[in-house]
Amino acid sequence: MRFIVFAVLFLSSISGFAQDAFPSSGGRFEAVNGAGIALQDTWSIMQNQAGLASAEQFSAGAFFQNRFGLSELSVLSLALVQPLENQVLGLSVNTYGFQNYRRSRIGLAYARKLGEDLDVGVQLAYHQVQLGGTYGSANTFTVEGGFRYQLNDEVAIAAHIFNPNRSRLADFNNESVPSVIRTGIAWEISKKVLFLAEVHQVFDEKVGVRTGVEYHAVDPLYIRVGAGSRPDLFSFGLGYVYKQLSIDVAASYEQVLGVQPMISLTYHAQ
Amino acid sequence: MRNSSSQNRTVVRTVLLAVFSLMMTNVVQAQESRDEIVRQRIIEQRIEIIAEGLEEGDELDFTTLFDDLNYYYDRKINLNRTTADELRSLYLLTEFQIQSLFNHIERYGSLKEIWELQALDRWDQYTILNLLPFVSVKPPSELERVTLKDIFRDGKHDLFLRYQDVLEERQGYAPISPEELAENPNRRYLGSSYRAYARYRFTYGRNISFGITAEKDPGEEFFQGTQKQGFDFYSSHLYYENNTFVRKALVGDYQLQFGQGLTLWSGLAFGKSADALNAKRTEIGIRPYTSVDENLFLRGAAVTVGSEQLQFTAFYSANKIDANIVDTTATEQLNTISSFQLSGFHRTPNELVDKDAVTEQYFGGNFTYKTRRGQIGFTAVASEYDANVTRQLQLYNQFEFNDNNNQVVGLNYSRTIKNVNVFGEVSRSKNGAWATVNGALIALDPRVSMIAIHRSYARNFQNQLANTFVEGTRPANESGIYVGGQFKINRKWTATSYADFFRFQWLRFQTQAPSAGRDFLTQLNYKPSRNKEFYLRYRSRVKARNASFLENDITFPMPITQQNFRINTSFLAHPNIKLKSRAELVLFQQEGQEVERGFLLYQDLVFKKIQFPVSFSVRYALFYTDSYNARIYAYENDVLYAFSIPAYFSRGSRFYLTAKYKVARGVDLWLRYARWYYDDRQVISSGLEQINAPHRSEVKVQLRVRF
Repeated sequence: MRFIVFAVLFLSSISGFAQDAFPSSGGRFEAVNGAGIALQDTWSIMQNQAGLASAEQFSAGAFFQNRFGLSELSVLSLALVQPLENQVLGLSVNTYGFQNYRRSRIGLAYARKLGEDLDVGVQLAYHQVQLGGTYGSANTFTVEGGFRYQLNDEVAIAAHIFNPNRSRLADFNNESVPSVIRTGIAWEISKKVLFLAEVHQVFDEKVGVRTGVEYHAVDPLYIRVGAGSRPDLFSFGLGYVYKQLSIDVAASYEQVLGVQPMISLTYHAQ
Repeated sequence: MRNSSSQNRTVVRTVLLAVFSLMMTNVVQAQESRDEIVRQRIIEQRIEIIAEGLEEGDELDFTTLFDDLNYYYDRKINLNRTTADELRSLYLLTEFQIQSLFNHIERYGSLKEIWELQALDRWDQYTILNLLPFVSVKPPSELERVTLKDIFRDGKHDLFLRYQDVLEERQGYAPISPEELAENPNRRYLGSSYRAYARYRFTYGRNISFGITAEKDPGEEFFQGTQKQGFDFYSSHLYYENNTFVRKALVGDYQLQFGQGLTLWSGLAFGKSADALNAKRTEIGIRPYTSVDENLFLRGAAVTVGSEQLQFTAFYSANKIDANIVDTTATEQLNTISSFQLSGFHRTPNELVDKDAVTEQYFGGNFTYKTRRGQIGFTAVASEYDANVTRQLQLYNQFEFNDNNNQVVGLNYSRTIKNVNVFGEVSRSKNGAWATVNGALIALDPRVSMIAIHRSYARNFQNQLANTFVEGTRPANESGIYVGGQFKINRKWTATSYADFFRFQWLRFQTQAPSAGRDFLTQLNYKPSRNKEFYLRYRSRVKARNASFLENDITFPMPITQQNFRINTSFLAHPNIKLKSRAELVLFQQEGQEVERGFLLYQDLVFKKIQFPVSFSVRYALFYTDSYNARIYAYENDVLYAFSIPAYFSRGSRFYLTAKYKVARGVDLWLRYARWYYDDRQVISSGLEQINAPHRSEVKVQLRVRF
């Protein structure tokens, strides 16, 4: 029993850390192993806010993820995107954990076009970590921002930096929110095939790579697959578009810990 | 006037024709020499690719593959009259390309000329160029009746003789006093230090093949003492193939390959490699065995009967293999064996005791239903030993085969639906253990193809005749998922990549706990023209192995990361000279330990001139590795049919020269000199192979006669 409690707490804290660095967001992103930095999607709000700049209509989504079959390790995310004239505003919510260990964040995003091919976006987020019993909670603010540049008809490149000022959660043990720098591409090889790749570095760690492919097999159906290092994950998923609703399911596989299933529903106004 | 002008025109026409035909001969000759280079490059690359996938690369036998490619080089496949199986055996085409060729022929009739291939879906220029040396386009004529006279008149004979030796004295051949030898008879090899090899093969088209192969390994006696019959190893076969009810029949030594290799597959197969899409097995069925590995083949008879769609294969094999016999109280008549010996060496009294100690019998069959789009097959194999197999197994390998007999049954399938080819096999061994491998090959776009393979092999699955997609050495105690892709960015650039994640549910050799790992490879090829090629490769592997230190007297697996970085260039510097260079860096690190580095740099020069009887290939290499862990494998150009992919490790240099001399039509002579020189040691190897010098030089001579 003690082992289970320990394991749960241990897993929560390491994947909680990962949750700060790479927030789980949208079945589409998760199916390509998170390599979506150069995508343009409602869920770009969690990955690279510049991806919101081309939004023309209101959209909203909800995402749920279960980690390794433990209900204590669930993630719930919400995203709201509202375009205004020449600019786009967004709201993101992400909560992870259980009663005795919960990490939450709420973010306000802003994105706009700077010319024909260049999009930029930023987000300010409030983070909170709650521990059970007498331990209380800690909180802090982070800033993040990125750009996306359409190189030609096929290729877009993007970069994003999260928490460059190394915000701290607690003075004890210098506990801070991780800082992450990422850069990647989205390559539309054909109308049916989209190739995604990125390299990322969490401050003080080694460089990791993520790649994914989205295949628009038949009209309403998308098949996705991804793989990457740090963490070493394999992922796949399906996307289905029904009228204004897109349903995206995904699963990622970690060799020691197992499978994480995920689903998101996203509504696009017309 | 008119007359003279018409005369002039005739003259001009004649001259033009002469010039043109001269040019054409040149073109044809140039074409031939280029084909020769292409052929060699294709074969070399294939072999190197496979060899790199294997952990131990020292002594590999790719004769069969080499045979196939050379065979089709001489007797080109008629694309208007071929089968999917035949095309697959080239290993140069994808399922989709084969499919699209058949679709094209079905729709538009026979191909009129070879360049029609360019119009085919999913066929690109390089595929066609790679394929050209092996195929032709002719009217789809029916097979003619063949008489025995035709066979003897048109059949081809091919004879090889090879000799090789190491110039430095090795401990096993050093002088020793008779008294000392009498006391320790295993202190020296019985025979002489050279290797001798002879091979004769007669072929008539694809229909008839007869061959004898013989080999004496270094240290084995030759026509005396323990080897009165001459060579230590003999192999031969008589093979027949035709498009009649009896499709294939063979007596002698052979190999069998069915499905995805989970139930029955002897001999070579492609697995994970830089050619990421080629991870699917393509079965051949019965094939003659002409190699010199002394254990991995079947000996007996096999036959395939049926039609193009429905085929039934039956086989029987009884082969004496080497094993270590333990003397037990003779309560039973059967011997008891404690281990199998796979080296094939019979150089010392100890090794000779193990020779042919046990008879391994295999029998079984395969039933396959084939269409152009797919197939389904059922395979059953039974094995039996005339001894009690009681190998001394450890905790880690306790689930391995350890019985006097075994039976394995399996079902395989393959089916192409539009741009997707699904394939797989499921198999069960006598002890009730299951294994399965399933995959899909998808052509997403003319420029992008992907493959995914999932495998799950129970820790106690037992099959001695399996060779399937696997990270470890045999399909047992493993599960994993492999995803690979190839992206033809444009005419000049191609990117290939794969990711493989695997798990071992039980302990492994030197890994005292269940473990997991992964393997990533990415390669970027740049081919600006036909004669220039450049590639960059990165490979990163993580696997667990026991740590070298103990904690509370317990050792436990720690992840090892191995990264390889490679730059490779090859180009035709002059119409007759090809230059190839490579630099490779390896970083090997077990968690918590120092990084072990290895570095290899080499330069090759290949000289070939049309109509000139001598061609040669030279390499000079420098290497510097911190340890054996950081070793680097590299393919070496060798005499025809001999292959070496040695491990470069320690610190030193390597040189070789392989020269070919065309003595006369049909008579070729090869000479090879190769030398290792080590900077950091005075003694090489250990035991009977020890050389008390910092260098090792090897000489090879080979003669080939074709008539």
